[in-house]
Amino acid sequence: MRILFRIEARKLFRSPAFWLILALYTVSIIVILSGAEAFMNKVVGDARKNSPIPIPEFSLYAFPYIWHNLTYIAGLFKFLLAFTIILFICNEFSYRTIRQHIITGMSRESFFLAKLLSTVALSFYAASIVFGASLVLGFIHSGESETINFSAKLFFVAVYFLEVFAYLSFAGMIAFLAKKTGVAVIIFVIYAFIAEPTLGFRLPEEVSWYLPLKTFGRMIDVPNTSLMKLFGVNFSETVKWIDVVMTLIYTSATNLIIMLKLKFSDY
Amino acid sequence: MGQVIIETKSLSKHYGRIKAVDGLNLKVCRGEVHGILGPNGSGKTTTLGIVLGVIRPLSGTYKWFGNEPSATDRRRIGSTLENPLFYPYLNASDNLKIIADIRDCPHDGIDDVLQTVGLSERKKSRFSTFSMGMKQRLAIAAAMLGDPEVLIFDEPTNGLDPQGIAEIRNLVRHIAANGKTILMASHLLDEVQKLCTHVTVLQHGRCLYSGSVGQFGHSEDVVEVSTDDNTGLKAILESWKGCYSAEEVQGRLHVKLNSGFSASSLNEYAFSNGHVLGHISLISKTLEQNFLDLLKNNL
Repeated sequence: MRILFRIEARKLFRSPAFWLILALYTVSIIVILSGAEAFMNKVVGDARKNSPIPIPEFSLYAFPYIWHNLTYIAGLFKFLLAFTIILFICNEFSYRTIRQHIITGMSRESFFLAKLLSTVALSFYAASIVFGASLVLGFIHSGESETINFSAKLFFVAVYFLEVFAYLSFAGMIAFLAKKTGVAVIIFVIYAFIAEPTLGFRLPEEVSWYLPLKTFGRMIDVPNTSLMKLFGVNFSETVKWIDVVMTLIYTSATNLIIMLKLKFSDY
Repeated sequence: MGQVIIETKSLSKHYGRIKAVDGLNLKVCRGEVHGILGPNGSGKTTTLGIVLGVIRPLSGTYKWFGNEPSATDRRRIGSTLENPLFYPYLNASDNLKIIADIRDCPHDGIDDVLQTVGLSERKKSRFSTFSMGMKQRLAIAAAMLGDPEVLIFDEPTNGLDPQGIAEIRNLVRHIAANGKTILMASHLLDEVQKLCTHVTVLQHGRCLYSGSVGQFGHSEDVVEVSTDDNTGLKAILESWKGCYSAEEVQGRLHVKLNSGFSASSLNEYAFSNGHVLGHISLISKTLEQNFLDLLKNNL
């Protein structure tokens, strides 16, 4: 296990492409998270001028709601990580290093495990960034009374980890099935940004509810803002177990498909 | 005969209607330098791919060291398969570290194998900057890492210039001299003749010949003779123990000899039986001729 991790780390950490995408992701996430409140208040501020009723200021960074708010926002940008996973899995096919791995003495199961480890590590990294950013922003913006129960909704970070892991497993499955980087990226983009959203609107609610990416995203639903309360819209303030269970089922299925595909293919 | 290193039993792999490997039985014993010889598309790489675990056979079985196939046993085998396969953005040393980690052997051996293939100077260069010859040598270095008992080289001199070819061949000889078992696929007869002790000739995925290179070359020595009475001579020669076969070709007899007999012993035998040869010459069929004949006869 430790050796598999070392092998994967060497491939990733020495790759300029990996650092580029990771830096891009990290910087944009931090910029977006720390600028989100100001941005929303600016938008709402413009609307307020013409509004007959008073619209309250947004406060995204108050503990413990910050965990929900920021994991939700960060969740919108997880596709960058999906590209990393697709790129690095498809590399193994385009360089045909998967073949070299097997003839050198790595079992197909170990190869799968190595990729699973990378996916877990990347998801862990994404969760850590959100955790760190939220912690810092929270302490800067929260008063003493709020700081006392700062850990109340900390579980959102764990759920965010699962959300990213599920999403990356799905991207990994497409990469393993398509094998070619370009093809995999196109399939993924078409599915994630066009096909599934379209289906989400077209299909009846009871069917579209099962769409995988929608399910992953639904775990951390749109946070309730004071604005929404004003309009009487109420979103879930917590995570529903059924969504977590569904996500776990989907993630097991995608990884099982990857495993079977690996086991029964020629390289 | 030494310990059996690899044995395949009626191995088959079809791609659609193409039978890439068709009921192949292959056996390689310890210490052999075993060539797999065949034209392009004869199933050499597919065969090696199967026994190295990357291609799943349609039917048939194979055993390494007498064991069922396993990733752990593959670590005792160093191999190159077709083109050298490495990460282009990693340097030679990092690429070999990955190989060493997969094989679960220490990194200390990396400098040694790079030295052996003459790449020490370039160990910090990215693989993508390497020439074809250097890539090929890095692949051989990777195969040698961890001092495996068996080495498999698939077309090791493919794409190399004459100097590169000579270097690789010397390297293979050097490895063989250390008592390693080598399995080498090649479509170059000359290469097999120069390097191998044993050869398996493949065509359309089937084995046409398997045995020592010496026998493959020699059994086909043909002596061409003629006399006034070819028919009588033929009858006499056919009852001679030194004669494997005799046939009349354009007014002359082509006599294949059994091993241990030479043109002069034939001459002596004919003379003592009352036939004075008007013509005698040795048509030593080269391995190449032999190979081509073998392929032609099996089309």
